[in-house]
Amino acid sequence: MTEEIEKRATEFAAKKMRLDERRAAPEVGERRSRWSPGLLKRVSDVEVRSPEKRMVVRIEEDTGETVGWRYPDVTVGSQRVNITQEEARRKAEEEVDIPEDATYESTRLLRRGSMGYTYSVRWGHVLDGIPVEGDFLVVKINPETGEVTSVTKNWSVL
Amino acid sequence: MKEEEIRKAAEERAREQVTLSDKAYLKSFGQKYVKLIADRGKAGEVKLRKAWVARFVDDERYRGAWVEIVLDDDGQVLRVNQSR
Repeated sequence: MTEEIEKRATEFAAKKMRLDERRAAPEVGERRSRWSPGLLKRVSDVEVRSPEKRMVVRIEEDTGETVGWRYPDVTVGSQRVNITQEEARRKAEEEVDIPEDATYESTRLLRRGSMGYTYSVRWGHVLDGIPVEGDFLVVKINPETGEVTSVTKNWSVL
Repeated sequence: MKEEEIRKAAEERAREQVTLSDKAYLKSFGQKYVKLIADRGKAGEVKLRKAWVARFVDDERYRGAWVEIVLDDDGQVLRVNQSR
């Protein structure tokens, strides 16, 4: 299963980072397996490196599904804020598949110490008007460039 | 059971199962889909179930201390959690 998880993470990262096959193939770095208290399942955080970027892809171990990804390096935050909250939300909706049963909750501008500001756009999971405990989708946006820097999805299927 | 009866059952069961001071109060109560697993911390089937969730706050224990009790439609306790 480890190989399969790393393969899926690499494929996902290559697509997301728009890597060209003629260049060096992405390499798998560290892999950490941990218990996700929100999903109540084990997930693996797999680091995938390309010559220019590093990405951490989160894979649910039982299903092999990608449940999140992030760029762990300094691009996540910025000292400058060039886009509004509404633009940040729009950007998140353009770049990420928002599930039909997601309910928009908030867009907040967070300060992350020396890394600067980041937008956090959040959706909850509501089924038939009833919220699902622990489920959420959070998209982080760099407020200077509008780039999506991470996606975290804790989503249950009934 | 009706909602009001479950609310009452939640308070009774909470007081039976954990220590709550007289000043503890019901902070929130409502329906949620909760995740239930046989053995927390180990891989296994996660069941999503519609349930009633009552959260009590007990500032007497320490500021912000909480107890959460999850019950089914019959008022049976499915889970109890509390802050440390």
